[in-house]
Amino acid sequence: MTEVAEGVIAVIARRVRVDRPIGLQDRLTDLGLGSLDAVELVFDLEEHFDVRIHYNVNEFQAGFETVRQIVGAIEHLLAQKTGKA
Amino acid sequence: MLMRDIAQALSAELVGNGDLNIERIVPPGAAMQSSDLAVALSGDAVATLASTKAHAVVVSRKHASSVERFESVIVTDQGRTALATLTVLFDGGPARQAGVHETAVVAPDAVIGDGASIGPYAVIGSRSRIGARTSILPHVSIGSDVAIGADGLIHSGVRIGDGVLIGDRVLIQFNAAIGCDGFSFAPELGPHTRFAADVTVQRVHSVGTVIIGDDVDIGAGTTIDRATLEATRIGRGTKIDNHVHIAHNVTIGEHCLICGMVGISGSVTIGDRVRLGGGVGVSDHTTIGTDAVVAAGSGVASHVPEGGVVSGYPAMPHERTLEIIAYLLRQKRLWREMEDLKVKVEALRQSKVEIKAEPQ
Repeated sequence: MTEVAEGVIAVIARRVRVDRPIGLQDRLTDLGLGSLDAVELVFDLEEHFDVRIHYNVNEFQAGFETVRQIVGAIEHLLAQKTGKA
Repeated sequence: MLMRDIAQALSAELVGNGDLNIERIVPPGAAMQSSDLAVALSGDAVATLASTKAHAVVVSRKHASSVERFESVIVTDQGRTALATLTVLFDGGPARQAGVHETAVVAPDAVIGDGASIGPYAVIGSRSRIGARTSILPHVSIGSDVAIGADGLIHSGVRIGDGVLIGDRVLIQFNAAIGCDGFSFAPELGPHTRFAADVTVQRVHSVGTVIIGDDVDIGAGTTIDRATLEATRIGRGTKIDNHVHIAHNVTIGEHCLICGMVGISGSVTIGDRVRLGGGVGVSDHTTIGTDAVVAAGSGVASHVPEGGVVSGYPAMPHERTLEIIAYLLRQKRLWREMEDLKVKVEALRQSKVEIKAEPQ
């Protein structure tokens, strides 16, 4: 598992209560995260990775359904940041 | 009750021994003997079946393959509805005896239906009618001219005021109070107007009543005020949790779910199948449309459209609430960036670089 994936899972794990490891295939809803949790998660992720996630409720819900999608989005943002730097 | 009969009541498939007699329904971990039926309708409960001592189990269709070792299995397609039916089958209800207990005070002109039970120290007022098989448990007081339908269950400590009308199969839990006088006063003032120093606040009496439809549940400690002139109405099939307050002149539609600690102010109109989460407050004279959902803790200050999903205070469309929360959460970063900018501007100023204002 990549460093980003581990980081994303660690951030998500702070918000969920499941007694099993969180996998890339898990959906946020399966982990018991509601819409309000998801908003807070965005900002947890921004803090953790020092990136800015474009936040729009509808787009966000469509693109942030699984852990894998979130990891992909963060990797993309980090790559953009590195490119700019 | 035999497994065969339980399966039939659930309209579910029975696999294995239908003659197994069941005395209790329990979670898988609590099963002790062959007469215990392990209820494993959730994924979590199914996971605990490996160590259960139960011989009989009820599961959803999707988990049917994991229960082949059991002597008797009920496989249902109904999920939580099956749980509702099961609990009805095994809930004997509170202890009660048909007839009027010797310590009850029943007005001579009150009418008690066949098979109804009036418990110890209950009081039934003049001209009131209690429907067939309805149970009035101990220490319930019912005013005069009250009508309660058939097959109801009124738990201990409930108070029902004069003239209140209640339908069939209504469940009222401990200490609910129905038909209280409304919180209504004169003179009426706008929200930002103060009383004059010499004001006399007069109570507007509630001379109306409360009308409750069939199959309504009312939770413990819930209070429902009577209307000023007409009726506070609770529609058929609506379920109200504990400690809910429903003020005078409110109309609630059919099959609504009102969770605990909700407060509904006077003259509010609520449509059918509305769900109000725990602790919701609803401002007076507002309307909540049919099929609307109000998230827990919200404060409804203006009308909610049909099918609307609202949250927050003041309650607004849920997506908008999420956006506002997003803005709030971004504040920390925003201020940090502002500080960075200030430092950069100061550095520029000290390097004597002239910063020209943009032309207007």
